[in-house]
Amino acid sequence: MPSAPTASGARLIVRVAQQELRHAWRTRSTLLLGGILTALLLLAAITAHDRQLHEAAQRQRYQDLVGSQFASQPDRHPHRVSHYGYLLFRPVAPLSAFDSGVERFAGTSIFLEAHRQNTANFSAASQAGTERFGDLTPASVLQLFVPLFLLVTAGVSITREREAGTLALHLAQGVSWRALVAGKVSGIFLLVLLVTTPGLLATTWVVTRTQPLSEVAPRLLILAALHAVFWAAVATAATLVSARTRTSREALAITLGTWIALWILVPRLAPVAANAGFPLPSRAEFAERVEASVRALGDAHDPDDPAFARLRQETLAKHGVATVAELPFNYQGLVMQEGERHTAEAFQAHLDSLDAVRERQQMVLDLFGIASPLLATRSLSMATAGTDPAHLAEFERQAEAYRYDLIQRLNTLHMEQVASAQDRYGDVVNGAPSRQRIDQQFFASLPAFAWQAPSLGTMLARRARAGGVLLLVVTLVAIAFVRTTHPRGRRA
Amino acid sequence: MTWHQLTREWLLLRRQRVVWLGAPLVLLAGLLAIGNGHRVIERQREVLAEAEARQAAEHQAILRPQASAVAGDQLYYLAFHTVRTPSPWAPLALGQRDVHAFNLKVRIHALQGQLYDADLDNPLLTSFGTFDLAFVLVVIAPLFLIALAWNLRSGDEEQGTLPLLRLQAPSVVRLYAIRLVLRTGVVWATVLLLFGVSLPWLGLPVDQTLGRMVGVATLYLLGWSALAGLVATLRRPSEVNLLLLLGAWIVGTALGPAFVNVAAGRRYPLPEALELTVAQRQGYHGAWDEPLADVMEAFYRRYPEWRTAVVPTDRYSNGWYYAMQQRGDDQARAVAQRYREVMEAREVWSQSRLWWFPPAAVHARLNALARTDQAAYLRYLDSVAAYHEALKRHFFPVIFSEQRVSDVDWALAPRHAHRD
Repeated sequence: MPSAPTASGARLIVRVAQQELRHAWRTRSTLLLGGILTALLLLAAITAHDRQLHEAAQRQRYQDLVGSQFASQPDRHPHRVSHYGYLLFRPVAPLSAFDSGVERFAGTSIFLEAHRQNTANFSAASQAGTERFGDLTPASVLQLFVPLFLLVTAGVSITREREAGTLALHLAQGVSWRALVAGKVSGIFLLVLLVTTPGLLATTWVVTRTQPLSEVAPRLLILAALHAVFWAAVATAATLVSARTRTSREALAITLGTWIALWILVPRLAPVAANAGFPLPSRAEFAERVEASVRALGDAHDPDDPAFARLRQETLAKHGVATVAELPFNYQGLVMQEGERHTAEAFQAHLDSLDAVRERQQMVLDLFGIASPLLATRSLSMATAGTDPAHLAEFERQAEAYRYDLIQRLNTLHMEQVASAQDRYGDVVNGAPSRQRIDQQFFASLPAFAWQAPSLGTMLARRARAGGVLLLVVTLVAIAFVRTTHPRGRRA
Repeated sequence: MTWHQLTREWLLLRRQRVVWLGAPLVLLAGLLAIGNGHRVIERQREVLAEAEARQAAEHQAILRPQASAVAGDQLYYLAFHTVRTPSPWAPLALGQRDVHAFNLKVRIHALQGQLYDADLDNPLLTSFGTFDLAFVLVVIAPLFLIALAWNLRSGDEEQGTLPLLRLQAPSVVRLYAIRLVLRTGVVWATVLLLFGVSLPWLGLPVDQTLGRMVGVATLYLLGWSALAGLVATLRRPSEVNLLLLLGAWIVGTALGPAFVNVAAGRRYPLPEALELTVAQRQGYHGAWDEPLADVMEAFYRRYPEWRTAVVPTDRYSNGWYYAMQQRGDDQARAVAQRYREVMEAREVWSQSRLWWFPPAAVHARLNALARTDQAAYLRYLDSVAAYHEALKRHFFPVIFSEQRVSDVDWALAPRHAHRD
């Protein structure tokens, strides 16, 4: 019995695969389904790309506007500018036209100002009223509907022959179960590649039109490999179901039930479990904790605050002077700088605790991935496309780093450029009470925000657990394949 | 005759494995869904129940050490909680309540910078959608009906029992009609049972809204039943029937609404969301660079009753400060209005297009009945805006007469309450 892939075994696999393809070509319903998949893929690619371009252009326009407004602001007191702050618009990810991931559920703009870290606002989801059942993106077609096609086609691939009586013929001709299943899987895999090729080419063309190929190519290769593994696992599992069931009806009931359970129900239940197991605090609860911490630090706006009294003593001692007026810089600016350092730390500690909760929620979702390989595949796909939660967190991290640097630069200007004596509303400038204003050139020369896209390698490394889960599922399917098709284990 | 047929068909149906497999599964999913809806809304109710005590504690922490300070200075820090109480039916159809704010805090600063703060969530989890009874009804229940009715006629034909039935029954059409009615009845009873369970569980009132929800659910299942009957009359093989029904299910529940979403976003883009933040910020901060007299004049046009109040022109004062904050809202007024109008227009357009895809439309209708939809959120935002205005009017006397913290009866501040 040829159980190892010998030369004749490989020839048999090719023959079965060819027969499967020929059968699909003759069956109109398979072609019809394939045509629908292609159309969906094309439509998804075009609309998602259109949306990506539109979104990216819009955010860039406002980012430029904010940048030019910041650079051309009038002479101002530096702390005024700290409150004027900066607005950042989250850049659109390179492959968001392929997989929009969680982008539409995250805020698009974030306001940076002194003393506090704001969260991003204006998520697309909060502005659209319709129920979310997955966006129409090429990724959702490849991850939701192609598996359905595979489950239906592969699910009946052997039962069909059993019902027609050709299965016994195959086995009598010396085709082993292993070659039969392998041939069916290969044939169906090729079939799905054939029917999705136009759509996949269009998707590739669409996403490489606006991106440098060197940036996109490795991502596309990884996505191709990921989906190939996912599809192969699904096709193999469904073919094995077909091998073990008597009628096509029974096989369809199992495979369709599987799709409904693992592609529709589990993805809704997993977040419920994650939320129930590890709830996030409400915004009000969170704000209460942050404000309590910040209050404990003292008020940087109040130079007589007891918490800042020690700073004064230390500073006076360090410079060997008796009053803050004798210091070689504006003491008020130093107070702001110290205050900012402390509040930033307090905020960060609390935000880190939120991230810890979200990380646990992610872990729950990953564990559900063992049941539903869709979850693990989706997670890796988002990470590759640059649209997963880790990318959002990275944007928020860079935004905070920029905010902190910007505010501290302004506080340094406050220390060095604003005279202590004129650091109160003693003047009237342009008909308005004013503290000392400094030349707007100081603000125009402050660095602009530059988003550093994280490298693909580091972002994928963070999703190693999802990769492990997918590997586990693939291994389980492989074991099932070996056991089900063991030469002594199966009969017609 | 018909009664006899009905009972006989019922006895036959009772023997089907799919009934005893499907009904418990739908029931289980439904119970989990009601439980989840209950958990989500109960959690929000807890947060809202604490709002008053939380606000009192926050205000006390700010005001107590500052009894002799200028009240207007301290108002800068005071945030007032708004309370969006969910409707009793919210747990059944969570709608957008998981991504919309329900406990916004406002200070008497420019409103537009505060109105759109979302509550904390995890986009990873929200991206999967909510799990509630509406989802089970709209998405899962039709699958049960499809499982029961996909081979209504074709099954007999393929098993060769159709000629036999022709001999036995006076009318095969009536026989299949009875079978379809019974199958629909099984699904309907399951759904009804879930509604029934939710009554004591969620403490729901038996009223018009509940009646409408059950009515919508009934019509919805009848629609699917009619479709299954229609497919059966095509006299195609069972597999084709199944693909047709599943195709309708996929288009109605997933593809259709996704198309409408994409088209709505394309037709009604919302650059105003970004524009709004920019305009509000420019308006407020620009006011610091304008002559005080101009800022105050703009303020007086809106609040003429304060024209006679004394605002010093050579030093900082809170009257001037809040007039500048007002400037932020005034400058953003037009774009805020446009933002609102586009959001509403998009919603109206989406809702009308959703009727092409009845499952999505039914889902939207249930959310509207539970008042967890976009429209309910916008009504809440309106109430927050009105509350913000009331707060300003309440505190302007405190600000313009430069009262001390200890002079103010803080308990008199207006409270916010909004019921979905």
